[in-house]
Amino acid sequence: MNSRLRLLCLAVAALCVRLFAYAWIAIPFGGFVKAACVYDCVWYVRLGAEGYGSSGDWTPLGPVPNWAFFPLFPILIRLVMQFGASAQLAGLVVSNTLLLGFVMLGAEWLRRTRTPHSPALWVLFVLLFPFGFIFSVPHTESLFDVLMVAALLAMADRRRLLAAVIIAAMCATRPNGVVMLPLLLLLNLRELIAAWPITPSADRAALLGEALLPLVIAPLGLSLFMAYQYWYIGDALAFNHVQLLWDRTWTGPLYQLSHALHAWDWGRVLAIDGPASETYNAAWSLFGLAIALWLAWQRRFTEAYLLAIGILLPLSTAIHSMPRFVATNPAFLFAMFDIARKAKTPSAQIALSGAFGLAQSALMVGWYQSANALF
Amino acid sequence: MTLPHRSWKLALACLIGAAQAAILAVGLFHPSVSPGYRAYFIDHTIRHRTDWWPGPDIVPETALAPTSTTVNLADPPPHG
Repeated sequence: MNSRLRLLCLAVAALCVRLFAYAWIAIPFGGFVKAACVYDCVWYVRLGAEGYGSSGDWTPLGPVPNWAFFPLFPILIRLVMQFGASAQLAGLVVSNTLLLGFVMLGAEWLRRTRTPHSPALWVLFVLLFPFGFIFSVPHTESLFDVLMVAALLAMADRRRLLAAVIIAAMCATRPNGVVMLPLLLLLNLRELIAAWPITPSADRAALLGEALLPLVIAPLGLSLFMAYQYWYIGDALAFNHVQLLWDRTWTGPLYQLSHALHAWDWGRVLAIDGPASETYNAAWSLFGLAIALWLAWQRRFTEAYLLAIGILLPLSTAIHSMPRFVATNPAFLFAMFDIARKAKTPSAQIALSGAFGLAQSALMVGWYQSANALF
Repeated sequence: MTLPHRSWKLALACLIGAAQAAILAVGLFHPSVSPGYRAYFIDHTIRHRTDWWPGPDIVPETALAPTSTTVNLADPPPHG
């Protein structure tokens, strides 16, 4: 059995144990399938089952709110539903299958960027990491992350067209899929500048085509969604405009951080009901930005950029949901894995794993109770 | 005029790029929506793009005119 297959077997076995634990914890909350489907899951499974426009009864302005949710994840839910699964179960199947893809591709990325390489520890790390449970619930995190790492690997291999197609899929998953475009642009520019002087004049149009084609393919996921929105509702930017319903308007990250730190509302962190603690969200944002700086200090500039931009973009419009955005960012997970690996003795590793597992179980209980302050 | 055989990627890139630019231009400058939608979502967003904190008082009454299935716009289902 080759090493990748062994790693996949380990990941499948560990994930099965984790899902069994989630199901056991979920018994008092109505069962895993039902209890795991909170927050955005409600939107995605409805989109998967009924499509856009299905939420017209939410507003007198037409079927608008669900435009904030991008189509690729609901399409995958719909595909799995063809095999007879409910939308919620289909969402779980999609997320957990893609989680396996993420840990496998993440292991490959670490193999190329870190020495020594410890793929088995990486798999266990992702599955035990406190906020890692989000990859197993029907949200877009596992899809987005597997696509991001796949795009990074394709770009590392200079397979620019493949990278562009993957980035197009990212752009059809979340609005911030566009954060990959500058990386692809840089890669293409570098290749173009290197090849231009040694290319005969007659072949330069072809060379330009090689550089431009990936760049116009990459945003296609977003562009096609915009075209569909225009055709359906008359507003190609509906995905952006409807963010207003969740108080997401452009205010800038500094204002959001300053406002949240002034609120100093730590007491709301453990509240089951009510609004999330702004200060807790600000702390997560600052922690994530500090880790991005640390990655830059380590000369891991691509990862630093992806983490920083992954924080600053949503932070420019609102402070909520930052723990989820930070803790499930692949670059953040790679950095945390670098730090966790410093625990070298078996006793330290066992203690860390135990603490992670307990924290994840507690967060999962919070998730089942829709304790939105935590996430 | 025929394109050189090896330039087809450039031609395709121009075509796809132009199509996307058209979608973006239409999205930015020519939305085709109801007045209520425009007032609530589009004008509101543009008007307050540079403001620090838009309050609920600026939502125009016409945008919130009740229909047979009215629900509270300010309280959509949770979005993480």
